[in-house]
Amino acid sequence: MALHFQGSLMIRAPRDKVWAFLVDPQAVSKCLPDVQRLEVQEEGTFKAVVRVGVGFIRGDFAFDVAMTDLQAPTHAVLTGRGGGLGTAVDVRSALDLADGEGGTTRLDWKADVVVSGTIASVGARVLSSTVEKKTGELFECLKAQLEG
Amino acid sequence: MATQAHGMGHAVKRKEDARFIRGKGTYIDDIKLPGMLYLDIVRSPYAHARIKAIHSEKAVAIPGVLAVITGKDLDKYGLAWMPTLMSDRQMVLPIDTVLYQSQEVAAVLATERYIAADGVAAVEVEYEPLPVVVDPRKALEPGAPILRQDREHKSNHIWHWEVGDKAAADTAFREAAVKVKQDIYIPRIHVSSIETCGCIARWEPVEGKLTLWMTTQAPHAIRTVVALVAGHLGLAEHKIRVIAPDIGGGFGGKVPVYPGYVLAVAASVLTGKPVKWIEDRMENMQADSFARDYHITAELAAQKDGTLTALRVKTIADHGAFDAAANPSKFPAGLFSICTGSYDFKSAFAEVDGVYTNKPPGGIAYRCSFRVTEASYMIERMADIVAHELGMDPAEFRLKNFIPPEAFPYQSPLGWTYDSGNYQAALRKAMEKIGYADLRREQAEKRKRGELMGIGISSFTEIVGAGPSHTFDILGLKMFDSAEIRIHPTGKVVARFGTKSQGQGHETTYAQIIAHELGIPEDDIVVEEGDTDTAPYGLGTYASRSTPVAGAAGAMAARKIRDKARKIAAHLLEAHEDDLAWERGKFYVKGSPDRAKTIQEIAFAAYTNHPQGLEAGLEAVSYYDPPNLTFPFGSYICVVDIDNGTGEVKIRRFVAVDDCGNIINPMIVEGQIHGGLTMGLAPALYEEITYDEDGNIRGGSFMDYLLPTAVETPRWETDKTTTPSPHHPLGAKGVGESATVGAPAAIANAVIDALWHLGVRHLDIPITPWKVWKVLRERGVTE
Repeated sequence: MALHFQGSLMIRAPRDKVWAFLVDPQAVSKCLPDVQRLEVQEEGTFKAVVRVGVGFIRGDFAFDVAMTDLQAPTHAVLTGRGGGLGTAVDVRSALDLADGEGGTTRLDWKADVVVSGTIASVGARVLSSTVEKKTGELFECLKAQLEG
Repeated sequence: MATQAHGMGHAVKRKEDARFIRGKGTYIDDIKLPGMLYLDIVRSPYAHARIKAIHSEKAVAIPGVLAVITGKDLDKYGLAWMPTLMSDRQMVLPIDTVLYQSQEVAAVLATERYIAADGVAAVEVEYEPLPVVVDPRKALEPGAPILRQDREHKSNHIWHWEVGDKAAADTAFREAAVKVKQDIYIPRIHVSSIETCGCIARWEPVEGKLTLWMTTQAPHAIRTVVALVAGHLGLAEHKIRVIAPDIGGGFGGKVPVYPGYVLAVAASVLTGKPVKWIEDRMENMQADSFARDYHITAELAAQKDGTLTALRVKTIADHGAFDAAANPSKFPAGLFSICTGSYDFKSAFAEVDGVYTNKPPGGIAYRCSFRVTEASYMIERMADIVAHELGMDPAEFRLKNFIPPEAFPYQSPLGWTYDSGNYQAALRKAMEKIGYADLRREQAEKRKRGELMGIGISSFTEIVGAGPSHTFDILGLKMFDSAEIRIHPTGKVVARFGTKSQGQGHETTYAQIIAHELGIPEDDIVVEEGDTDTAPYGLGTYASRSTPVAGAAGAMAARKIRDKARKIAAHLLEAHEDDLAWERGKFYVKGSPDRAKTIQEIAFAAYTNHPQGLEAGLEAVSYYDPPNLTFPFGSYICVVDIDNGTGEVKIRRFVAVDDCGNIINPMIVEGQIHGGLTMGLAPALYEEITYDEDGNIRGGSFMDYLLPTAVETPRWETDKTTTPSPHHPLGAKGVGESATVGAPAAIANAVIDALWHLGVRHLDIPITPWKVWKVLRERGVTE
């Protein structure tokens, strides 16, 4: 099943700082939910194992993530493919940064997620709300890390 | 202890229940062998994808994981594919492409069940997703992705099947005063037997012998299939023993061979150790054979007075990725041609097209004799639509169009010879029992007040007991069945049958048949089934064939024994055979009832004092080839009340009048009908498996697939009429499936009956509160 999410937020931090944070896997991983392992590979790619819970399905998902189309400090695309628990997930996410007022940064993001397998099947009814909740948490964390 | 022979027609308590109600049954998963290994399966998250690579390193690094088996491994032994029962083939494991979600991709062999599961989680598979087709109509469009690249015929169309006189039907439609057409979808559902599928394979390398304990409804056929498929690997039929132990529900779902069985056998041959494979619930629901999934367009033609004249039906059958239906080989659409039902049509024409989609294979006979539910539901829905269109009462319409009792044996326009029937009697009895006329008056009053109440009828005709060898075979194996009765010196009996009970109560009903024929108490008779080393060859239990075919074999074998017993009795009584008379349990000299020998005395003599010129012993085998199928029938009436605000359908009353010919055990028959009605309620109101556009299964667990429990189930009221089968030795017809076949239409008809005045002509099952609420809202009944 295909899901689309998008949103934007204002971060009280300069654009360069936000950019540096977003393209640093170690930094971003602090905000990913339940990261079990992170393995930075060659430039712009990393492997992450995250613990996922949708409905009664809980377990570890392994993701291969690649950052592409990097246009510092305005635009980045993250593509990820991974899965676990009989589930496959494909993510394509685009991030756009712009200067806001008074040294703030505006982050516009969108993500297209295709979920196949167990979670799409038995978790379909709760998947969208679960992803929304987790995404909200992710950006709250980003703000906290960058503004703190 | 009761030592009486009860025979036919008695509510003998079920012999098997002594162990079942104590939790002492032996199901597959209860069997544990020393050194046994466990198999678990990696399954595809995609509905259609190319497999780029399978990485098993991390899995085999887990202590206790012994091997990861892939399609390429199996291919070396010619086992990556297996034949289906329908002239198609099916992947055991894919070599490069998966065709449905949850399809088997690789197998993990381990020393413990949980380690096997950990191994499955550690296998990494790289996929390249491919375009998915879930709608069979789209699968037939030009440009649709061709799913079965392995086939020479590059099309998603599998087969076309038709029956009847098209020209005559078309002429009747041209001349008809009244014509009704309706699209009807019968959704994909699953048998959801409480015990999932599984097996233990034990290969003994020294003896070259394979023992396969397996959840199968047809152990003998399975053994032959294993011998034919794996003969090149040294598996020979005399060294293959298939044992079906106690089975926790089959309903057609345990007829096919699933990849897991083949993988367990391969793994046992590979390791020389016993290998157990047991599905979990989600695997069972997501990958095992589905049922139904028929997209039907039906047309009825009638005269102005409501006399039906012709039927035309066009159906698209969604078979999933492989045609792995479990039909008799000459019947790709099963016995769908029973679709003229209980009505006296002058002409009819039916056609079905089988189509591949990215869904699990199947098309099994879910508690019905090969697509009979589909046929019966269609014709009973259509009968109601025509009646309503004509403004006729649906009961009056049926009584007008029924095949009259004097027309039996009746030749149907689609080629069947109905053995016996009295449809009018069954419907009249149901109407009387439920108080039909009063209900119609109540409905009219309630309608004035805006209350929604409906009355639905289903007067179904079944076709069961496959089948006569001239027409019925599975992979060439004729659909006879068998019984072997051995009477021991003390008059105790071991009887073995070619069928296999999955809860039907064969240990009791077969004993009653023998008790009826020989006068030996049921308590003195042990019935055994399911072990190919001991039981005579038979085609198994499905399609309500046990009583019509194997039960008949039991009666015929008992009669052979009685013939021999007469000779022994004549010898013992020093009388001529012709001077002896049989009274259940003994032979006596005509005119001198005191000069008698009981069957037990005769049995003892068969081993201690048998007449010269006659072989010792008292046993017989019968392979029964039925001359015709049997045609059970019934009339069900359902009363529903619909909540104006929520659309919820409440079944207020449900009367089921069944006619299954002569009854062996009325308690078991009633139990079968209660269970069958609940399994008919299920698709009518609750159960459905759907897929999203990417082929993700919806309804693949009990979280989403609403299996009715006692909470949802109304109180069933049952009754009967008795119209014996003229060709069955006991006049019996079979009853295991009648209620599943008959109930859905009665419920759906009741709902539409409640909504017809609002302009609602049809709703596809399952009729959920959401569907009803939507039409109520569209018509301004609710907000």
